[in-house]
Formats: sequence, structure tokens, C-alpha cells
Amino acid sequence: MAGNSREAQSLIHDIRRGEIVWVLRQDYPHLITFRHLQLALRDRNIPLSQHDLEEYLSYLEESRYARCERFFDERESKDRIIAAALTARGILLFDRKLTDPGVRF
Amino acid sequence: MKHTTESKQTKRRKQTTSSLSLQAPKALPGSPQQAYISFDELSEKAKMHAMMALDRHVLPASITRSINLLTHEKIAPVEIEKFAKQYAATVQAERDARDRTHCLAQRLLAEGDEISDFLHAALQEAFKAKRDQLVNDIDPLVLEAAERRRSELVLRRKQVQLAERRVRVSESKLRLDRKKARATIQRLEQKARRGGSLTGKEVQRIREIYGICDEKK
Repeated sequence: MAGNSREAQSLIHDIRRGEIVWVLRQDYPHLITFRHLQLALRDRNIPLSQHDLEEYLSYLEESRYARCERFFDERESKDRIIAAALTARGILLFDRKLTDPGVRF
Repeated sequence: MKHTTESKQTKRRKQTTSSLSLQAPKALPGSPQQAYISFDELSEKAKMHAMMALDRHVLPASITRSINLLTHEKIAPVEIEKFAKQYAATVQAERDARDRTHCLAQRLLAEGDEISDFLHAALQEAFKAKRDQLVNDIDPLVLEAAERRRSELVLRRKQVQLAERRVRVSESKLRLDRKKARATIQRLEQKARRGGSLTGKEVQRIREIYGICDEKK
């Protein structure tokens, strides 16, 4: 039972990453601000906190599907993501020419 | 007495039957009378599925069927249509914001200025949020100057980091030189203890280590 719920949760994360890729694709190759991305996802009924969205974007960045622009916030001593854009590899993923187990459309 | 008891009993019977008739019959599962839920009450998975279907311009009736198959949630096509209208308005607003930003960028380019990627993204966000008045009041060149100052600040920070690195390298070099000097002195001391005499070169080396200038020179 616990396994099933974990799988379901993992699927939700994969779909959310897919939605982020979809949103970034609309503005390729331009950057889109973090706040704008958050609002666009909220319009798609996916309200995400700053922490969650940064997590998903970091995954996409590490997998080279997206590039993120960061800014070091001295007050909070944290590296914040302020904007993101899809990369060419992200386009291939969006067009289903590549597959990733962590991203679902 | 018997008559009143009977009339009371019949009264009670009548009340129960009338109350029963007011109640709606229980809906069997899967029957048409089962209540539909609104779009907001759908699960996240169902909502995402609906959004993706709307992006592909699937008809509302097909969307409700697929949601029912996927998550066994019942939603009326009317609800999907209502949401689709709102969603279409959101998509249009997004498209408008993108077009306005693009037009502004083109105009600035025609005047010989360029806007950076960051500024482009910030303008698009502002247009989307319909902060039109704010955008009209702001001079894009002022924003661009601010962007240039930000990149200057980033470069200056990098320069400071490089300078700090150079200082650290010099410090480690100095420590290494001191270590070498100490090692040389120790070697000469051992030689002197063994009774060996120092050569001219070795004396010169000691002078160099202690920074003693040659008087003759």
C-alpha cells in the first residue's frame, strides 16, 4: 500500500516536470522569470511553492533540459533561481525524441 | 379511546409515509442520478489530464469520458466547457504578453538598442500581470542601464574573488619560501655541528635568507 502511494506521488512529480517543460517550450529560446513560471503553472492548476519549483528546475538543469539563471541572495545566504529557459535537449525531450524516466507528458 | 388511539396510529403512519415520499430515492452507483463534481473538486491527476487535453483541443465530452476512465471521477461536460473558456482567456493573455514584449524588443532594436534576456523576461512578466501602466511609465533604457550595472557588479565581484585568490597564492608562496629557507639553515647548522666549514656560497645564502646586504657592495 505504501509502495502504491509512493509510486503515485512519483508519477505526480514526473507529470509536474513535464508541465514545466511545456511552459518553458512556449517561450523558447527566451528566458522566463521564476515568478512568471510559478504563475503560469498556477494557471494550469499546479500551485507550487518556491522550494518545490526550484527542486524541479534543478532536476531539469542537471539533466540539461533547461538552463537556470541564479542569483546569490546575501540576506538568506542562498542561491536562488531567478529565471529559466529550455535548452535544445529540452526541445528534443518535448518532441518525444528523447525519453527521461523523471519527466512525463 | 380506541378511536383516538387508532387515529393517532394512522396519523403516525401517514407522517412516516409522507416523510418517506419527501426523501429522494437512493442513487445506485453508476446511475445517471450520481452527482457530478466541479472542476475544482477534481484530483490533481485529473486536472492535469484535462489541461493537456485542452491544449490538444480535445472536445469537452471526450475529456469527461477520459477523466472517468482515468480516475473514476464524474464531471459534467458543462464544467469542462466553463473551465475551457477561462483557460482560453489565460492562454490569450499569455500570447498577448509575448507579442507585446516581442514588439517592444523589435522597436528598441530598430532604434539601435538591445534588451538583455533578463529584461525581456521581466517585461513579459509585467505585461502578463497587466502592469501596463507601470511598463509605460518605465523607460526601458533605464531598466537596461540597471541591468548593465548589475552585470558590472557581478564582474567586480569576480575581480575581487580573483584578487583574493592571488593574495592566497602569494601567501602560500611566501610560506613555501620560508620553509625552504628554514630547511637550508637547518642543513647548514648540521654541517657546522659536524665540523664542516661553510663555503662562500653558503654564507651568501645565509645573508640572502636574513636579508643582510653585502657591505662591500
